[in-house]
Amino acid sequence: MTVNRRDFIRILGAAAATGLAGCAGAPAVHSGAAGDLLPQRARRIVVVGGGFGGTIAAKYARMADPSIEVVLIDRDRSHFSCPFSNLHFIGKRDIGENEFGYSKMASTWGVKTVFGEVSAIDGAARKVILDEGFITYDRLILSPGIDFRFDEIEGYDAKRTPLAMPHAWKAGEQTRLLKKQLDAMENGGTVVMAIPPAPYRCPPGPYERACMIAHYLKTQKPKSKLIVLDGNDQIASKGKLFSAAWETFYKGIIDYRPAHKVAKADAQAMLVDTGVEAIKGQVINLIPSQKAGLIAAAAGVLGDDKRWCPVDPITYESAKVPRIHVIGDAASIAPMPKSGNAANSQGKMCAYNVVQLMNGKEPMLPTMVNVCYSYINPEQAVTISSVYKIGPDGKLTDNKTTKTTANIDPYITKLEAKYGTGWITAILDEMTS
Amino acid sequence: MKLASTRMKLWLAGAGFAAVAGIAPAQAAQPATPEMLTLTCYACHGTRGASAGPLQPSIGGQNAKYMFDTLKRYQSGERPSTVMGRIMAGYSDPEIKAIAEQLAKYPFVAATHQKGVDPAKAELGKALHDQHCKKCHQDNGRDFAEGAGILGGQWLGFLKVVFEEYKAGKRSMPKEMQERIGKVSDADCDNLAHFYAAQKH
Repeated sequence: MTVNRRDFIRILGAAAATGLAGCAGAPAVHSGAAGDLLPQRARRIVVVGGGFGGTIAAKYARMADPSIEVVLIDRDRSHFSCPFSNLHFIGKRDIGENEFGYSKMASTWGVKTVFGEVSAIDGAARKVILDEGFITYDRLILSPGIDFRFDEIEGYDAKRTPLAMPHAWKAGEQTRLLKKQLDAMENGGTVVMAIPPAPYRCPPGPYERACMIAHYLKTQKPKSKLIVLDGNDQIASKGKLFSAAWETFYKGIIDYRPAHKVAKADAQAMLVDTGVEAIKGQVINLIPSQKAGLIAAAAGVLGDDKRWCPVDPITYESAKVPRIHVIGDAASIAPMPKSGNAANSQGKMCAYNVVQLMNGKEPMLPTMVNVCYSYINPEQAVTISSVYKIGPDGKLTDNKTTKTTANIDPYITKLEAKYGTGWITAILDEMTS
Repeated sequence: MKLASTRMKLWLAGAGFAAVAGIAPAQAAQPATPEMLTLTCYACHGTRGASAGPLQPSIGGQNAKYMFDTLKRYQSGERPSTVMGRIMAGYSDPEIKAIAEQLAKYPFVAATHQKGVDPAKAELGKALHDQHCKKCHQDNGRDFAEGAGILGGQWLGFLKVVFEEYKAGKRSMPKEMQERIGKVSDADCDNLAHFYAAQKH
């Protein structure tokens, strides 16, 4: 295709209004698919993926060194936060409140935003290839999130199955769809939820969702049940707390079945099959097994497992392709979990160290924090938190700081729930201001 | 500052490093600057400590000594918390000092746009402040004399939780404050919270 001037402005979107002046003069307009969309006139970091990791990496790279140009590329002009999306199911927080965009990122920090589909990354030539042309970089920060391994489930159709059996593991329309299905279900209907084997995005997320759906059933559809099929041998995070919450609040509603991995799905019959038994549900929340966002494969940064991206724990530089750094859910960086707060911390540390490297300086030892809130009912929440550093052996460690709320005592869990609403307000504000 | 000036290099043994990251060459790294070390606080407390509220306090521009003592109290459990005590367990004293000093360099940003502040309650709170609090919380709580934190312009949600903790005896305080807060009713503590939240800077 030909990129004309109008197309070019469309691709650049908000950046055209706010940040392009920083490019010094009018950008050259190229024709042909191979056109350079943003000819480089300064040192440049390109960030691909505008979620919890990418937004923060872009902003803090500008803070660390404003002489370096930062270009943030995303397919969409807005995203929905997965953290706090489960509250949508009990009507406590509409998913619309989780939507965030990038306008202030450009106006406050001078991040140039580009909206377009990245089709490939040429690590050798240091080019991000979009449908309309390419954008060059000195260093690339990839924060692509997750995609699903649909082929792990027999009978799963990537397009049709999520419409019948929503995963709601990328927030937005999928969250709304699952809520609509719950609302439409008759009192007495069975809800089935299928949790994939770890590692997946947000380890406690499925169990929080089980609490939210069970609360909805308890208050709205008391004759209904929730069957939880867990692909893991036990609750993958905050196990004692969720077990206590289920026992206390949702006894007789949640039927928890560990070591039940869904192997087969039939969206027409509304059946999921674990290989041992086939279970029918009026509503089925089937969360498939996960891998790094598809761009990671296109960039050649997947590890030997072909799922996640191995990185240097100090700089987040890919073990596979130099000058590409990977953060967030896509990165393989045990013992950190795949969480929004982890991606936030990683984005900051990665940005500062990428700037160090571009300025010919040694990277700095990072400290990362993770705090993760899970609601067990509308008024009570539990947390898990950790501080991560590089140990003397060069490996990332939590130095035994990983701790959860002690128990589900009402005083402390109500306070956690209050602070939880503060956390989501704060972290979304930090990403967008 | 000790932490920043001690350029103690951590040489990562090639073998151990390769096992984690699959990158063979040994890599040198230096300690983080206080600026970098403080970044993780912002996920909850806002960029440079200017909180977006409504529950987390603004921590930018607070007195460094006050902030160091506060963070140490969270660490020891002397000051009750949900996650703060657990998080502070991951930091050394020199790191906490570096963070406290870094935050003190940034401005305190008053929560002037916050919702829910009741002018009538704030007016009632002013009389209480003048009577009981102004000796240590000077300039309508906007100053940090006597090792106190900035209250004026702080977030209402946070102030309410703090007053509840004081009244419930869950949060330690100087003897002088203990005597004074004993004389103030729960409703008047709420009025004080509205008074401080209403302060502009």
